[in-house]
Amino acid sequence: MSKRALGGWMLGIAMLIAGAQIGVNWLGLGRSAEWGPLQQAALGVAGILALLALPLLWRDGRPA
Amino acid sequence: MAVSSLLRMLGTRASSLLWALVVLVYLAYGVVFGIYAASLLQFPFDYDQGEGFELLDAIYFSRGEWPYRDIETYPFYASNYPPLFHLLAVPLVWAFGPRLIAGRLLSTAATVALAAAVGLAVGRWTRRWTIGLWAGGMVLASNYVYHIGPLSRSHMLMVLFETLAVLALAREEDFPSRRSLLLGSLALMAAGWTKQHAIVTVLAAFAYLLLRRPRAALAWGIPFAMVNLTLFALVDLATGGYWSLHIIEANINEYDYRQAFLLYSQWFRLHAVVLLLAAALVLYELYFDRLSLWSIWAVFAAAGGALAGKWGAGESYFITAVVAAIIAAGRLIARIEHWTAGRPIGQAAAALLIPVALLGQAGLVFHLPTDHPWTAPIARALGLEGTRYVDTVGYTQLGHLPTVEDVRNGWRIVEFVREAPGPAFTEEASWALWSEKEPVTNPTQLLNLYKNGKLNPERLIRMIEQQAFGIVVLRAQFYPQPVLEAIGRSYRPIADIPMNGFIYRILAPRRPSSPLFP
Repeated sequence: MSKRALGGWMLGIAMLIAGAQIGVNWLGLGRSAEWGPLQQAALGVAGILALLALPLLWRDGRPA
Repeated sequence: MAVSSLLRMLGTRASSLLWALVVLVYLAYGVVFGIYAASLLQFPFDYDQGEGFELLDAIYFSRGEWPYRDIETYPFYASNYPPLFHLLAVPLVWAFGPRLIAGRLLSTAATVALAAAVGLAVGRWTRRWTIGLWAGGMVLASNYVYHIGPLSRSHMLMVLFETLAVLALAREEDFPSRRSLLLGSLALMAAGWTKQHAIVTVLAAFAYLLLRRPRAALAWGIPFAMVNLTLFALVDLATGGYWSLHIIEANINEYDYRQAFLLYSQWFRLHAVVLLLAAALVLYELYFDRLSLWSIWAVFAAAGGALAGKWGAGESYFITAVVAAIIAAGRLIARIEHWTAGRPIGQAAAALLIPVALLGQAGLVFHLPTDHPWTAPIARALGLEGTRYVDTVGYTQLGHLPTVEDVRNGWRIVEFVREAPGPAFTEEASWALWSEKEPVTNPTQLLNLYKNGKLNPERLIRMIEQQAFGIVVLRAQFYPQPVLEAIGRSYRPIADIPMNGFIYRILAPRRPSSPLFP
């Protein structure tokens, strides 16, 4: 697998995590004191994953 | 010229001194681990709740019986762990009898073997025995490994097999040879059949193979999964379906993310230097080199720590992540030594900074039982008198050395259980085992199944209400609520005995004319 493909996978996972928050909000759990911090942590992980993935997408297709 | 050679000589001397200090400090942690392990090997009772049940599984196997059984009938016992640790403990049960030393010896040996494997691997990469000694010593120095290593618990054997699997699979630079794949697969299987948490390492290995050669990864992954699923189905068939009930369904517990957050922050606080070095290796390989199995394992193991939010889980869920990070840190140190070779300034900086960082790491994991003849002088010198056990974890139920009074009080509890007529209902197995009675119930297993709607405790409650048990010994009271209520209705407290930091409540039947407990 190339670095670019790996970056794509990482970005995909990050978007999946971020997308899951829509479901969490739809269930009305996002702002609760119980689940709010977990949602923030999940979004934080998604953000870090996306940030790490971006340079891989930009770089050449060397093997990962 | 003379000044530069003088500086070089001073630098070399300082580096040698620092490395000598690193070796000394980490060897001292090895000795502290040895003191704790030796103390627990002599301690006859459960030190940590659940140790006795892991021994009981080995006892069931030594009798040719499965511990995956109907928990709704007497003795209301079933295990929630895979069998390998308990099967390997069977010869020790034959040698020592039904005593906790069997499980503790096996786990201690696995922990020492783990430290040796990590030390040898890192020593080979760096071609420096001092760095190898550090890596092996760091395994034993981790607060988590120290706490869990000598207990009669399957966890360290799982981590040993996980580590051996990764070492085998990473033997070749590009892709594992057939031999390495076979050895790695066997070790991965062994890890999974020791404890379910090994799934994290299985996924890491699969991800690594997938990155390197996707088709070959699938050609490995599908048969590997098929073999294990077939074995799973066979055990399930042999146990009448109780295997999947107790291994899978009873392990689906409530999840508290705050517990996971707390443990993540503690894990980082205690192992910051090692984790930063491991993270640096991951980032370097992500952008400037190919990702090694070491990096991938470190990432997956760190993510696996999230499972520590499950009810009943704890710091042990981070041990794989600690070991993976130590190996990754060792890899990075080996690379730094390689990069700086032939560059005097870089070499001098690395020669001083690396040992200083490793000494800083030693301070982060500081723990010391202060009431042992060998450690007492150190505790006095450090001004730590007055506390039996010091640990940077903060409050912990593990790590201290049991006292003579603990042992004496333990025998008092055994005396109560021995003298009581009929079977005994004890929250820990060792009270019943020392009294030569059948251990009854596995509280957390009952509780988990009850919470999941998979347990009807009616028969157990009926026996309690009929006061069929001559005595009840409670500690944490991890039983389903209706069981605790039945005990409250039918038994009365007759003694509270402190042992090993806990209060053991002894209860006798409420019937008015109990001859033993008037």
